[in-house]
Amino acid sequence: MTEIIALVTTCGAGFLLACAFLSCLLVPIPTSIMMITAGAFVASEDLVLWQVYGGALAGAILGDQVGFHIGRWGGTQLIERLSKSPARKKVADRATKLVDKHGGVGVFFSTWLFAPLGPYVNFIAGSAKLGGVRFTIWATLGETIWVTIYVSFGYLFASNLTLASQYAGNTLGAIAAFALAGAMLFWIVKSLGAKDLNPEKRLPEQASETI
Amino acid sequence: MIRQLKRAYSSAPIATVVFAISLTLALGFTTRLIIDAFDGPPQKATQIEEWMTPRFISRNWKVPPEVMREFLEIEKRSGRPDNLQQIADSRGIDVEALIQELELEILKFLEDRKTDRESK
Repeated sequence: MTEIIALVTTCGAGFLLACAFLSCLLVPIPTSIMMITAGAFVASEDLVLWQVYGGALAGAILGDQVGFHIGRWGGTQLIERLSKSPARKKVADRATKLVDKHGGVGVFFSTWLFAPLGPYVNFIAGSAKLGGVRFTIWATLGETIWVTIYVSFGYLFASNLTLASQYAGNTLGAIAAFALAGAMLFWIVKSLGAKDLNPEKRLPEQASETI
Repeated sequence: MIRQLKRAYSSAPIATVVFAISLTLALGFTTRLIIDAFDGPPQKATQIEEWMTPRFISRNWKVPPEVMREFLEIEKRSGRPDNLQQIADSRGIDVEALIQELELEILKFLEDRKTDRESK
């Protein structure tokens, strides 16, 4: 690990760009640790902020685009082949509709909050023909948050990179858990609302209250 | 509260279970962050490592850069910095030996500074 960290200073922003790019294509590189380290080197004035930030962001955005276009090119053919069977065609159509409806938000969250899912989501978004402009906007927004969080934590807690990594992890964990809780609450409220409108589906105790 | 939970569970069981788990996790992460915040600023890493640069060590061990350059016998320069491994390699010495020497110098400098301040 120390050899990889050492490359952050020896190769600079170009190395960060390569790391962010490859990690979006499923190459197992600890890019978040690289960004924290780079943030710490910005604090000690060994690296320049705009180069670090720009390098990481450009790499991540390019990586997302390549993953998306691989999906669009290879994935579409795969889906077309699978769709020869009527049952599979039905599933593929449903998946495409789902991506069309919620794909942008999915891409957004997968680029920073659920980053390990990012490369898969990019491929699926491409395969399911999510609009290129929509994909680019959501992916860029998500990557901006991802890079900002990690570089900032590295800058702020430069004196202890292990703690910086721990803080960043806990912050993202809290955001992810609150986001999931919020989504589930929305689902529950929607489901309860639907039941209230449909008397046949109401609970017996509720029914007796109205009687 | 329990009645509302029962109602939610009967209406959307999966969502209610996932909601309870995610809320517990969210509170756990938040508590951890609050505890860390009250513990004060993060302590610095206790050991100097080979990937660290002179300026990085200077900032985090609160030793002036010119003093650090003097310890390591290097010139002030702009551009991409060398880390301790590169400095040791360029001199043909073992990086561990360089780190040990540097740690002793820093310790001595910090103790001298403390004594100076106390005497004033």
